[in-house]
Amino acid sequence: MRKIFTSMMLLLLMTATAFAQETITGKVTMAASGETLPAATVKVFGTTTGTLTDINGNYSIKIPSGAAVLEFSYVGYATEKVKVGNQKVINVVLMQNMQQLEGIIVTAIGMKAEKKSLGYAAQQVGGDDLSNSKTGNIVNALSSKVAGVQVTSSSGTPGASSSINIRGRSSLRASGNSPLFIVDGVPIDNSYDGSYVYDYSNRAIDLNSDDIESLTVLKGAAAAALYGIRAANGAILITTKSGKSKSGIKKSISFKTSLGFDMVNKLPGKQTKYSQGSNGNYSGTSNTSWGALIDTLRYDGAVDYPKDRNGHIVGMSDPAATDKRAIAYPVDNFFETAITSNSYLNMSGNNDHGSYLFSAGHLDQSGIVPLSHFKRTNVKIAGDAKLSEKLKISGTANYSNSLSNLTQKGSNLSAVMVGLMRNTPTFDLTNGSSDPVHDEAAYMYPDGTQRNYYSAYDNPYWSINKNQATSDVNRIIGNTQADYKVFSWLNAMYRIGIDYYTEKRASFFDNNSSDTPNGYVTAGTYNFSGVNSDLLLSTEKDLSKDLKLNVSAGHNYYVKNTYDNRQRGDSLILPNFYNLSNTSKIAGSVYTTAYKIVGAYYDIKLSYKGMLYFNTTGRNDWSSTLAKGNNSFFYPSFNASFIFTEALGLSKNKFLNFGKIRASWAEVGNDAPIYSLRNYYSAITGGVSGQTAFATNRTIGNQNLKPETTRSSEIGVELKLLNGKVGVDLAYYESRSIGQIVSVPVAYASGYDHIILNAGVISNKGLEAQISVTPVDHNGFLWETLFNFSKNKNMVVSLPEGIPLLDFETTGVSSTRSVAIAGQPYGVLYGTRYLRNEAGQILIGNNGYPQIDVLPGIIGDPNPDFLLGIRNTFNYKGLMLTLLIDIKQGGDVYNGTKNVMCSLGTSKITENRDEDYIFPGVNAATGLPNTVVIKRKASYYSSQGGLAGLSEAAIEDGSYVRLRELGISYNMPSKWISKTPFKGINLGINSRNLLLWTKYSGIDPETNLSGVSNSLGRDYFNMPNTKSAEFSLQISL
Amino acid sequence: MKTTKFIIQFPLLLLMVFLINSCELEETNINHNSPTEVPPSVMLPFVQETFATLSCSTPQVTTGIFMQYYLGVDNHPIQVQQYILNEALYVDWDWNDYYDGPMNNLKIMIDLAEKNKSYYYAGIGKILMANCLGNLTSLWGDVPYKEAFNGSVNRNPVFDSQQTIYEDIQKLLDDGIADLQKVYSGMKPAADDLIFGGNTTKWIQSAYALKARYYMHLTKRAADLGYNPAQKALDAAANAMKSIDGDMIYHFGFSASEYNSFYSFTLLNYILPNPGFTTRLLLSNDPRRSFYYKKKFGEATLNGLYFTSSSSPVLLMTYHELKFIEAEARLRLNAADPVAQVALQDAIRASIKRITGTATTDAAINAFLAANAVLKGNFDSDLSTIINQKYVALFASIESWTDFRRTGFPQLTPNVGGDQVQNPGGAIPRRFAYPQTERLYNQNFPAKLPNLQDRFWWDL
Repeated sequence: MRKIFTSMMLLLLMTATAFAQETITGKVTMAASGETLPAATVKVFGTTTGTLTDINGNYSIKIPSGAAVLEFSYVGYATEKVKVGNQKVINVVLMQNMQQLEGIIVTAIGMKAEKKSLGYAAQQVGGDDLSNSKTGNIVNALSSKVAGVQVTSSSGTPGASSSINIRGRSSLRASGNSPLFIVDGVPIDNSYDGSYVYDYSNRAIDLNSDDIESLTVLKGAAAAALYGIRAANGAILITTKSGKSKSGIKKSISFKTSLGFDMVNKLPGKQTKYSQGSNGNYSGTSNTSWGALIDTLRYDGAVDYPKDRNGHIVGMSDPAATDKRAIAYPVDNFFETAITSNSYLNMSGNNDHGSYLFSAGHLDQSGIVPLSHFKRTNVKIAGDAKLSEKLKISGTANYSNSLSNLTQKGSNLSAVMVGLMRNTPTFDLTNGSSDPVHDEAAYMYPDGTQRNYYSAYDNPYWSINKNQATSDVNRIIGNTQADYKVFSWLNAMYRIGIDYYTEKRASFFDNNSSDTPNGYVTAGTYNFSGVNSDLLLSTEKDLSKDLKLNVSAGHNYYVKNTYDNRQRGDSLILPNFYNLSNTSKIAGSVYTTAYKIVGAYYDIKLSYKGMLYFNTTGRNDWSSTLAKGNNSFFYPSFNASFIFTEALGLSKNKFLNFGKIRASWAEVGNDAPIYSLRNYYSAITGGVSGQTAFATNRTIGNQNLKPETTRSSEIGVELKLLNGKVGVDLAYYESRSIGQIVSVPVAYASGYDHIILNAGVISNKGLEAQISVTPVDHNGFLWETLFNFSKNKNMVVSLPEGIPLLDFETTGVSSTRSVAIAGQPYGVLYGTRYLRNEAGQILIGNNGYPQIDVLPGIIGDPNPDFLLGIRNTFNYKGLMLTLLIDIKQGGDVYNGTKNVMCSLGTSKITENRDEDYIFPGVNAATGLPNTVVIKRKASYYSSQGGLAGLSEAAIEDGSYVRLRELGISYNMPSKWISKTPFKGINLGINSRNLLLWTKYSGIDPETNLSGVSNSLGRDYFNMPNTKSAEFSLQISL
Repeated sequence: MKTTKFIIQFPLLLLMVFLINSCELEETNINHNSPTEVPPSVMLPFVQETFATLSCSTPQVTTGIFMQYYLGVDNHPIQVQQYILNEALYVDWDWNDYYDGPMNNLKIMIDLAEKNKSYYYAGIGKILMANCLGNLTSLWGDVPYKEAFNGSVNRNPVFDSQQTIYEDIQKLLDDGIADLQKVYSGMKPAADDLIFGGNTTKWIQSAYALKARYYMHLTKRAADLGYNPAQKALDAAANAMKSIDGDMIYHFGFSASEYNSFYSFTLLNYILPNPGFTTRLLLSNDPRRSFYYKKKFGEATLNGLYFTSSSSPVLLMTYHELKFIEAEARLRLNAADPVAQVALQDAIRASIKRITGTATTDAAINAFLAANAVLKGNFDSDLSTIINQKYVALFASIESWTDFRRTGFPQLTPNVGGDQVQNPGGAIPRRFAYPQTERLYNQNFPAKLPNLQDRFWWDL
């Protein structure tokens, strides 16, 4: 041990006491613009002695006497070598290198590669592009920035979940479609614990986008193949900031603060003409709003009527009527302007031996729903040190605390939107209070019971005060890494990383809530621990002058443990005191899981003359979730890249500067969900009437499960035209997932409801295009445009035998579901529909109402036809304008909210209730066009199936065009601030969702009742989305 | 040199550790949360509770709207009110809840008990299974049973004819009675039997009462059964419970997850009292009136009463139902049998006692009986009297719908809007729609999808 120490000290000393002899200074500039180039590397050729240029492009380097050559290099520029001779000052001009402009990209397992060598699709997003997105959820920040990626946020409430899919969905399992998230080489948990009551976050929300240096999306199986069993959905590689110098600055302190505002961007319309009641008559006890014209109603002025401070509502000719007219009370003032503040401090430094970074961030986001909020604190340290010429160590630790006060979402009787949208226009939810959020009189009678228009639906002011849920997550994501040059030809890397968090969850429903009159309290703790170990050996060898070989071999070990402790106490003894100790009966459960994967892999790269690249990888995985004999599997991948412009000698060509074609093929997999192999009995939590009780699980396990296989292939072409002013990256891909491990329904009469099988085929075929254009680059004015286009066809090719339809997770509204049907697009909407004749005409009964088909069917396709993101950036002298337009064409949404609002008579649509109407269709008996004139009153809507309604009548087109982001930022010119201690000051305004164009009649159609799941396109009293703007100030020292 | 060696060896050492661990992959997959075997004593509380829940839940909502105990005003009950049964909603849930809830667990429990020679568990299991089957066939007619509960071995169990289902019910009850009469020294139910606390006599009496009920279901088929179902029912009734003390009742536990589900349901005001039914009770001055519905803030509600409180009991088989069966059976065997009226009056008296407790005096009961429960020796009008009284006593029970389909009583006017594709003609439905899942996933599903007016084997 002492020997190691001594040798390490020696090594340190050796590097510290360089044999200082001569000092050379100079300046490095860019050939094209003549501007200085900061952070260019200046190195004594053939040694490791070197330095970087500072912010003004200047450098100063001490070189041993006799050193012959200095080497100047910078990513994207051709390396220059200069003989020193007797010079003391050496100024260098670096030429831009079209081929290297592509840069270096982080690929699987953290291996870096030149982008031009990749035979698969990978797209990088810079950290600034993410942190300017004005969203607390890193997943949302990726919206429309990467071709082939679809992001769907479930709502605009703070901390709401968002789902992300790369090139469609490959698995029939709800949890089987999320890409792998890797932070600094460590896989992290982005799970989502769905609940139909609260919208819990997807856990990537714990990351601070300000901490992110860059993000690489590995699209498709070939790109992510080295992750083997976890690669089927691609991967998102996040590199967090480090202290490594980027602009020649040795020390940097920067501080950023912002203040933002969120507002509801779209709400369903409510009618304001008709009162509570039915059949055109007012009734103060009815649940519907099919009452009298509000204009004909007056208050009686009674002061003792608890439901309304103005008294009872009576007809204008009623003897008790006063002059005070009844009115329709708006509900949109329930939503508040939410405030978000975000601060971020980053301090870093570096020298020749290493670097360090410290950062801290705090996000405080209130919600559009009063009392809801999301707060996050992030602290990060990172460092690296060169212990010797051979050994380098590095590590990072990210700590985060995420605190949410969650909002109730749709499909539950306490949901805020249920309370708002079902409320009758003539009931004032606030009871005239100026501060109904904090004024109990708004939502509660003096006896503690609830004040609402109808007993089944909670007053939203009651819900936010009396039915709450909180989540408190403390999380550490960290790793340490050692890089060791074992021999001159062999590098070894070892990295161990951990993702550990504890989530404390609590919720309560107070007494007198609509469906829990006795109230309850829950408390729970969820622990997640994922430990990942990677050992990677790599070697590089020049087989000949032109042929290079690069071989890596690695070992991976991943172990995941979870612990879920849930306690529930029923029947609150004292109201308004939400603690388990205040309940009459407490029941609890603990559920633990353990999971391990062991993998071994290789990666072989061959490159010929820097123009032809070939890469093959292979990985064998052993998973704990499959039975012995089925738990070992090998996944190969191949990809190749050919720079044809190089081969054809076109690199100096004025029109086509760079051209590459690429192709890849890969096979990856997916293992079984945990504990899928056997049948189990489960305890009934809390027992039954004090007796211990067990029942058999309803899902039949399967010992014979094999891993799923996804095979994918891709071809692509990358071009740079007109001196790089136009860039094109096109990809066509196909993937096919076979032998899906899926829990398929069985006839209940078998005694069970599901069995886990290997069966079913899903395919994805798609086209992606990234087109970058620089329309103007003149006199310091730069305009860049980037198009990200994705078109994906996600089909269910086949389902297991005897399974005509496979239900995806259905949260609420089981009459309209997103399902898999063989031969149909993934997740089609299935529900009740109109009865039609063979010609497809709707059959109308003699009463003039449409008839309903006894059997449900496919009523919509929630998959978009295409997605297009258009990003425009304008730069002029430190002023930058960014404009991101997001277009989604197609994709049906089930607007269940509208159906119920129509049925209850609260929808704006029902203001046409007195108009004559002929339902288009043909008479069921005669086949002649329908001529029966009807009024669309309550009976019309109930004949379409009542409150939940006819599913087909609620299908709407979810297409939209939106101004996803609009930002302006200004870098103060250095001459203004040169006398201040600041190196830079940046002022910015960023906005999100400022404008939205859509035909969808409800809330923002980017929504999903089921949160992160494979159930798509359903809106049932979902929380609305937001538009927001933020003002930011960034200072660097 | 040693340093270098160490640095090379260290990762290899780590590698070794992980490779050793990889041999333990199988152990990792052991589920420590759930056992793979349990004794019948922990299954019994579950099957009783889930069966009881199904006896005060959506099946009773649907049949109760058909039988005009209540109106469906919100959510799916609006559709049920118009005789629209969405195959994906209540009917699907109910079917599912029977098969993978009490019934599959009963099957496992019975097999386990027979293997362990724990005969009382087997006996109780068979009686409960018979009761489940009786309810199932009353709602859906032909249902899978003989090939059911085989999990992955048979994912497509055939639908047994209703006739054979009734044979199975009687056999299960006979076998159950035999098991409960066995003498043995093994495991015996006690506190884990939440219905009778392990009292075998009460179980046997209940089994006989159920035998009587299910024979009585077949009155329309009397001509071709080869036996007179009324006589069989009367014979069975002779061995059944002798008073309301023998009632087969389930009491729910204390916590919200164990509340009587009719309480939670009625709380939401999806269903409200049907004015036709409340008028009937008002006109006859029925002492059970205020136990069935009430007014709250001017709204008539069903919630918080005898059948609809969080701790309401679930009446699975009662002395009063038995006595109604006896009255009808005697009437059918001999319209002049004077004991028929005795049985009828015993039935009503037991019902009022059961529901109102001490709130109704004997004098009030007698006055009610004198006004409403006198048989006149005329078969048709006496049958009407018996079934109309049974209708009031068996509030919310699915048996009322079976009685209606068997006898045509009480005479009801169908709801408005009920004439639609699924229910041609618009009369009160004769059956439930089959559930969507069974249609989709059971390849032995009947080829022709029945409509709600299609009749069962016993519903000629």
